[in-house]
Amino acid sequence: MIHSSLKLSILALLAITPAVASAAAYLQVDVNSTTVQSNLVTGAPGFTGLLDTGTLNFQADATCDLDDVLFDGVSQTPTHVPVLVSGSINLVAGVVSTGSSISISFNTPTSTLSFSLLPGQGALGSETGGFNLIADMDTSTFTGGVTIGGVNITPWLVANDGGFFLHHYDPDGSGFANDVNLEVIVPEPASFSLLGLAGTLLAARRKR
Amino acid sequence: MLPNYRNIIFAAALAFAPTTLLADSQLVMDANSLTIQATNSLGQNSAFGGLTHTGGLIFSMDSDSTIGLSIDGTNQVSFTASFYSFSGQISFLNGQSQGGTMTVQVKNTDNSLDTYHFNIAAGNFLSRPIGSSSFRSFGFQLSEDTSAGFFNDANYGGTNITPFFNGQDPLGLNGAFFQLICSPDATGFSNDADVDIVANLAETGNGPVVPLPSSALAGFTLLSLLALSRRPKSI
Repeated sequence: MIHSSLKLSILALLAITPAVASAAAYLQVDVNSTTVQSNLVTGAPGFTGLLDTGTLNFQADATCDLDDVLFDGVSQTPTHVPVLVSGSINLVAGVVSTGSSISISFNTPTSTLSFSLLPGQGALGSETGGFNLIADMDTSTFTGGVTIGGVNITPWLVANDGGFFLHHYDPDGSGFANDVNLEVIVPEPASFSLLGLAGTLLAARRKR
Repeated sequence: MLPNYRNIIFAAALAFAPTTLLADSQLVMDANSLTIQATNSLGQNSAFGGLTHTGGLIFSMDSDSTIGLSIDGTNQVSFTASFYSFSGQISFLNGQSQGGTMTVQVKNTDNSLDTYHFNIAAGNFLSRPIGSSSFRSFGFQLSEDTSAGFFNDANYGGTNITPFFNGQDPLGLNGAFFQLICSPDATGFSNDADVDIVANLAETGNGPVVPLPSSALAGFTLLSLLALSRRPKSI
């Protein structure tokens, strides 16, 4: 027989379990057509290629929008709301260095994803017609709301790590490109997985 | 030295010139959650060999695959077709692309199919991120040139792509292919792969570039300005 206080705990966990256990393992957010201006160390506009040393600065772009939100690779068919990307990525010989941070704000309603990139854990790469950059993320946080494009992302409001991907960076002679795409992948925080597992185990025990 | 008004005209002409000379338009298909199966050199399903894989990668789609279409960075809301099929293969020798082919089909509301078929070049190598967290997220990548891209219709899934359709003959469109999130399991299977396919109008390699309306207007303006600049000479 189960103690009454334990019963209450089980019931409380079971009340949470359905929502938590069904959470996906990772969240992917795709943003299309943002603008990047590369500056050299001197601050002058410019980009020197795969081994660039300088800063990639994100700028407002009227055509930047939310392309997709996926849970474990499955599209949640979000609304293509406008997106504002801000922040910068510092590069030394093409490798991400300290002080690199990015904010992605989704409108209507507003919700902002902010994160830093880990120094030394990301680098420029080449792709046909331009460059890309893949880097490790530090802790990421969503603020201002729990939905983006109408999709609820509550399990990922705070995550410990993840991956950041910038691509289709095809700069002109002054390092400017206005059709850059971003992808962010944020794993489900361990606490949510453990809570879901605990709920499942307790549910199994309760049946016995 | 040119008179001032001619300097102004030439400056205006030069301001228009880049638009005309660099006329370029890109169509991008963004396909998410595709499947990839690694094969060995005999074409049999096998484990994936990572950065030195020899054999093939077979691309397909499953029930949760999606596709979007943008032109020059603008999402095409007119693209209302459903994702019908995605098939392709790329061969590798020690991680280096030996080339391949790919076909993307979408189904219109009237059940007709629109197709884009293209070739993938040889030469580039598989790559992976240097960070462990981003490697877990994005797996292996491949970036390659594409060629001989052909649409079967000037309307692709509801979107008017006439400039691309008219500009593809006879050699087809050039462009780019980028594969992301290839993280095969022990059997060489990955079911969350993303692929970007770029068709570039300016790089058809088959003669004159088809001018877009904006560049045609710029060209007409340039010619008008040059004609005006010559006019004082004959007076």
